[in-house]
Amino acid sequence: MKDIIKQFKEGILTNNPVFVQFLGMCSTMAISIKIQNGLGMGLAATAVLICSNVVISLLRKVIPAKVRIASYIVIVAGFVTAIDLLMQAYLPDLSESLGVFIPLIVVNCIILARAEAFASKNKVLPSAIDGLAMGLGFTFALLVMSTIRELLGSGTLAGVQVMPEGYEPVMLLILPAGGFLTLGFLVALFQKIMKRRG
Amino acid sequence: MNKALKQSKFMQNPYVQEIIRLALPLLIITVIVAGVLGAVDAITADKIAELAVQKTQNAMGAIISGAQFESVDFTDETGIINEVYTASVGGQYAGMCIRVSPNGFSDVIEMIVGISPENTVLGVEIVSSSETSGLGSRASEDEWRAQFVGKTGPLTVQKNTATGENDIVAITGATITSRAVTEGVQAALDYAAAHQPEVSE
Repeated sequence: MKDIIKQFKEGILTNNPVFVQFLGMCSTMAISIKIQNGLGMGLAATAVLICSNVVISLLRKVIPAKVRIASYIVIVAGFVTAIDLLMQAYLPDLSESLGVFIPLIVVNCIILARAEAFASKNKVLPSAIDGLAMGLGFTFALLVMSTIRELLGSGTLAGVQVMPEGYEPVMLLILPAGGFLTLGFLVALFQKIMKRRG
Repeated sequence: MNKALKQSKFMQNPYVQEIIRLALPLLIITVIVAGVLGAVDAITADKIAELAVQKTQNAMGAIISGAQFESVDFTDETGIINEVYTASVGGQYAGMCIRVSPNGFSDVIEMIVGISPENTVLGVEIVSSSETSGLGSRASEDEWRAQFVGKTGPLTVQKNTATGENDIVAITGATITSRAVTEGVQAALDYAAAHQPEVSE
């Protein structure tokens, strides 16, 4: 039980995939413009992360070390494509709003990094929990970034106008440069808080 | 594997053995994944195709409501026209719907343009696009698309305010997307102007 709590703490705070490990940068920049997008991408990546961690943990003794990366990519890409097709066929509305992000999950290095750093060395259950914890950490980071960028860049929150009429949206924030700026400030803030707490 | 091959010099070579030891598991994984994907595709392909047709039908229905649409053969000189449908309401010819896919900022924009028998734009529906969220994606908003309605062309894109009758005001920060959509509408207008007499009978 203690281990599980530690895993969640690592995934969300002390070893947060975005703010600490700097993983999954491309998808973070690309989609943290709207809250719905951030949440959708975070949850979709979490689902894939759990599945791929479980499968890779199961196969950890079968896959030869020298071809492990190639094997992981095939497994992850297979998962993502299958999920994409199933969603298109049976959950068209969800697929519509997440469609663009699904292929991005394949190249999301969080999934490959967790397969390599954790699932390939640990048993199935801890690997599944690692997937969930890291996925939630990723979702948390995306939510924080997309809240800031949507609020200042479009004047809305989850599509609802919250800024007063006269507010001129800062367009820079929804462009890639704004993503880097937001991330930079958040990482600095995160480090500061972490240091204070020791 | 037969015995002679197993004992051959080639198979006894440690490098060859190493390669087989590495490649075989990878091959097995790849084959299994490919098999699973093939199965998933076989289950979902029909359903996905059906939904795509449904989506086109819905978009056309939003432009000309209550109409029957019929796909017609076409010749395309612009390279962006994908499908041409004629619309009839109660047996009466009511214009045409043309599916075009101009090149946007990040990818092609799939859209449907409805043209009235008098060669004016009835409506524009964006079926799918992957334009920048918050900028180019605003082309899907009703308010922006509404300015095409009633226009006859030739359309021109303006950056700030519309001065002429056929001016389209670009989306701030998304001029390329605005131009692409306008190009699509123009292609549909041109096509309808040239071919409407022959299909309307």
